[in-house]
Amino acid sequence: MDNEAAFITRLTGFGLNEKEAKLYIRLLKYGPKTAGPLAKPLGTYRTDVHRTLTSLIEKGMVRPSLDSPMVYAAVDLDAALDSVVKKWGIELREMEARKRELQKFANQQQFRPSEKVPTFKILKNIKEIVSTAGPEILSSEEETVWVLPPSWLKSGSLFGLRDAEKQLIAKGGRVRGVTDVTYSSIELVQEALDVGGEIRHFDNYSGVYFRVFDKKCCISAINIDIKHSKLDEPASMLYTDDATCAMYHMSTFEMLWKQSVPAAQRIKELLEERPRTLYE
Amino acid sequence: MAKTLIIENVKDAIAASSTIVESAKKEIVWILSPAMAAFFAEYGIPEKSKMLIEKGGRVRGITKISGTDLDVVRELSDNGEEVRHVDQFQGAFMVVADKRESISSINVNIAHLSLDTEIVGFWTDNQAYVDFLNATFEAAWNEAVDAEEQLRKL
Repeated sequence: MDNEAAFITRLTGFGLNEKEAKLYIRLLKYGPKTAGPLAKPLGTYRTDVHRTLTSLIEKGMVRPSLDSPMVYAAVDLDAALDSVVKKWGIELREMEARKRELQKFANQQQFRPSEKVPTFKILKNIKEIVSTAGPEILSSEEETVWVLPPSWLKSGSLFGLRDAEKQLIAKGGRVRGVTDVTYSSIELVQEALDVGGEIRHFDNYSGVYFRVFDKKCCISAINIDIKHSKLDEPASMLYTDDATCAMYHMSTFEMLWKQSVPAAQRIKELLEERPRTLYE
Repeated sequence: MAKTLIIENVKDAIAASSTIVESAKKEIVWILSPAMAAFFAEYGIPEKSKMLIEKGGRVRGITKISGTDLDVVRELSDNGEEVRHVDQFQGAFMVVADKRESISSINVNIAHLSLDTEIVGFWTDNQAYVDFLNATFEAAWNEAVDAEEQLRKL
């Protein structure tokens, strides 16, 4: 971006439109001009130039002469910007006065505070799931619970959800999970246990997979089959901050939690049945 | 505003499902475990579905058809329900009416059901949730096989 373009950008940030900014710079650079010669270099018509000049005059950035034909001069930059700031200052004070009036009016009425409207959104791939679940885990204050297949533990580990859980536990939160612990998932389950998660085993679980964050919002999957742990792997999950839906999953989780056994016990049993060296 | 309700036992699930089926005007879709489908039949829900079919409505259902459920599946088919079989369904059980009202429950296989059996179900007329269940049903429907084919195999 050259200097002039950067200057225009900053002027537009100051409340001018692009045409006003270009015209003002032109007058600053080349001195006072009548409207006619300004039209061609700005690539517009004389009537449009007049309109833009009128707006700049109102803003206090251009001054018209009393000559005929009328000549327009740019106001010195500092003075012009001060003028804009003053104008906004006046408007701001007027808005504040109106705000106070409205607040006074509102206090005399009996307005009902608006109820929170729950939102629902479909998450279509692992990337969307991870980018939704990660911040939810990090912003949880008390607990996140999940029921997941072993294949999802791998995605969680690869894409940072395990780290987020670790951070939640470090700040005093709790992570509880239920999964079907098999030989092939021992390492992933152990990793979840190692970060401080409380994990339990549910034999041949074939229900819905879900996560609940602080009993307030949840992600649930219906009929989902993730084959590869990559970000663009298609999935279909529903995120909602509907409190009843979150409580529904929470109640289901507690039911499963009661019916499951500690993962550490299951891992021990699996290794006793079939020692690791044999498995490897 | 959409309403939501948590269902805590089989009795309430049947009551809610019955109401949903009765209120349907065009179509019912369902996915149920064999035990749940048999239980629903015992409590007269297929008769309500039959009334909808007689009025020109459509009822489609998916379940796992095995040797022990033949009678139930035949009864549903005789009523005019379109039933399909799925071998390993991993998902939620559901009943959805007219794409606007639903009851769903986490798929935990409970072999012996009674009215007091504790389950956790979710009733809602939230459109986003209903659409999600409906889309799931359609995906499962496309993968399922016709009940007649499965009945012949058995």
